[in-house]
Amino acid sequence: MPQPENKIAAYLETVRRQIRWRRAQKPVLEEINDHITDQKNAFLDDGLSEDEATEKAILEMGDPVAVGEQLDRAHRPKPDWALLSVSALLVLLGITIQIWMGPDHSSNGPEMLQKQMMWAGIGLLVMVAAYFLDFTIIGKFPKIVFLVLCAATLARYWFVPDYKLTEINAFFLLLFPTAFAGFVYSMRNQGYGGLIVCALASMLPAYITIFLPNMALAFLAATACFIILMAAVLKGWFKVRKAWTVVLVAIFSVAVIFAAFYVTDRIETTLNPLLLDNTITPMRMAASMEVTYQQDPNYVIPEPVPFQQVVQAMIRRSLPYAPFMAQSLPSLSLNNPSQPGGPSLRPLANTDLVLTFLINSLGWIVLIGIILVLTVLIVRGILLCKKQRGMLGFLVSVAIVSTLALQAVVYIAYNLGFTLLPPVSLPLISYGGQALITNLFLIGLLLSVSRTGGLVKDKAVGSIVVKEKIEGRSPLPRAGVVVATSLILLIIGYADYVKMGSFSELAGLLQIKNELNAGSHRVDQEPGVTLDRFSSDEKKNFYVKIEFDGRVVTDSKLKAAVGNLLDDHLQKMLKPYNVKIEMDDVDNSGNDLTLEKTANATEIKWPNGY
Amino acid sequence: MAIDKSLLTGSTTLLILKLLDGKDMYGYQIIEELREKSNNVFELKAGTLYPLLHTLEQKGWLISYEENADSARVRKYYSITKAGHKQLSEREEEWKTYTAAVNDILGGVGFAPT
Repeated sequence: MPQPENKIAAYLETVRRQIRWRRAQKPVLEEINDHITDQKNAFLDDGLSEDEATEKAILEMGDPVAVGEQLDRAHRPKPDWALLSVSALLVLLGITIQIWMGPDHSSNGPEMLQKQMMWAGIGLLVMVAAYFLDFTIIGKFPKIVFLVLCAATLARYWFVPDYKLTEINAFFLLLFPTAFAGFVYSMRNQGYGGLIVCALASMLPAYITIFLPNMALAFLAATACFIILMAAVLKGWFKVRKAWTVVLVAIFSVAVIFAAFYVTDRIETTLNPLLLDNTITPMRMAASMEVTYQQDPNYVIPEPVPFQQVVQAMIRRSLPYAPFMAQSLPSLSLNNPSQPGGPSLRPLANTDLVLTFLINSLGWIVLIGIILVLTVLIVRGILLCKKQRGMLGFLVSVAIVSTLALQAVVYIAYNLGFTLLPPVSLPLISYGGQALITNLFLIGLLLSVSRTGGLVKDKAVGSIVVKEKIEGRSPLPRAGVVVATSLILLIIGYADYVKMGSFSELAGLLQIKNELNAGSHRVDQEPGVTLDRFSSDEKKNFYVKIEFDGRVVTDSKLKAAVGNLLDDHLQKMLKPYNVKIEMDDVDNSGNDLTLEKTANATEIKWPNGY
Repeated sequence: MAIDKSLLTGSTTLLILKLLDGKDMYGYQIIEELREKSNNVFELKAGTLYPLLHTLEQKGWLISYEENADSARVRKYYSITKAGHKQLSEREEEWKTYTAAVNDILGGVGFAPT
């Protein structure tokens, strides 16, 4: 005769086999097991023997196959079709916009379209993977997830070429709020100590982003983290007094965010009405956008204005002319009609300024439409948050929805001329692989939470056994982790500062370009010679193209003109670069000439005869 | 008195919601209460109860939470939600209309026990 425990186990095993959704099996079986135990204990109290009680308790349960089948019917994984379809719609919208802008966009429109489609494909795969991912990992290993993310961000920072500094890291930093949700989850019942550790941890991603520097991501990460923290406090997660803790957290968040803005004095430039006045001339804009600009030989380069102000002024000047609804589908012109010949925002049309361009060409109705679709996405997300019963599912959902919503808000504001923050992305729409893939990953995770979240319940605390364990866990080790990470960051930041590599180099390059711009009229003094363009790349190559008319310009005059342009001062500045000067004879008489110098050489050697 | 099962099936949801309206309970407790309150008429099988509870939870009429029964075990308690309350009052109305109609046919006004 089998042991009573074995009988129960055999019964449960039969039930388990009927439930196809594996993740539902464990919590369901635990409940059934509890029930059998209760029933058995009741029979034992009635005076039955162990064996008899077990036997009867199992009999009371009913046929295991029938029970299992009914449970199977009650537990079917259901993806949230609403969220899934809205996301798919947004991705398709992004690709459509890309197709429409593509041919007209700079020179590589078709290539950008291909890339965006490729990223969308990868992103969808990542989303499916995230959907099947067990999101509870975030709550089980919060410290590891958080630290790995910090480390990955830093590693990227370390290995990415300097010139790309401002572009990187959307990838990892958009994941921070979600990791932070796991961190907050692990601080249950830790009181004010836990709250302070969380507040410190929430500043970590913001700190990394300021130091990168990317204000938008700093704002996004910090704000999303504060929203999560606030939600946790309101749900009584820390066992602290709600009312004044909420006030405190709010003051703390606002202070941190304002301090960050104050440091970069962006508030003034955004709210300053003078920006709309005429002091920002096309010339000054050109100067700040590094456009070679030379209609007038006596042109003196004006004082450049910050790039942000240029964009803002251009957006605010163009929007009042936008129609509510274009009468017919216009052919898209990415040039700026209000200032012909002036600088244009063309290169940003599919990345940072999708909405501005759509409003200008198709009318405000497009903005309304896109806002509506995004609102559906966010509202659906909020509903999914509210549906979550377990704290982990709730916090992770809140993190993901905040990350998406904040991106959308910052982006829309920027496109309407409030350029306080540079936009990260218009979720799922704007061009850019990192943000697209990351956002699709987050949506996949949100779908996973909504599918399995119902099965993840917060374990009860309060019984004698469990309580001791919980109280024994002080927030100190976690505080240690946070402090250690901060220290490592500080040291790395300091080392980088000492090295003075990245920023000074970037600034140096900008200076060279300004000087070249300013020097362009020196070339023009020689009739028949013009500076066509110049550029640089990440491998320290500097490229200058000069055009001359071989019919009027003699060799010696050409050499003199180039010498005028690249004076001693500029040559000294160009020392660290490989320089290539291409001189193109517009007469096509075969007098084309290319001069080169390698890095660290000071002089540019001319061939004999010049 | 043993009772035809089909009579019970349709009204089980109503009975569970009504029981949980009074206080939060765990599965075993629901079956016990039901038996007691109905003078042993309603013998709900656990195999029927749990799938039903899980379905009601997914519909948002109930929520569940865990609480410690004793030092070794946790119990899963069910609690009625706002949506559940709404369902309950609707179904109570439905039930009253239905039983009144049945009673009318079976024996006129005086038949229904008060």
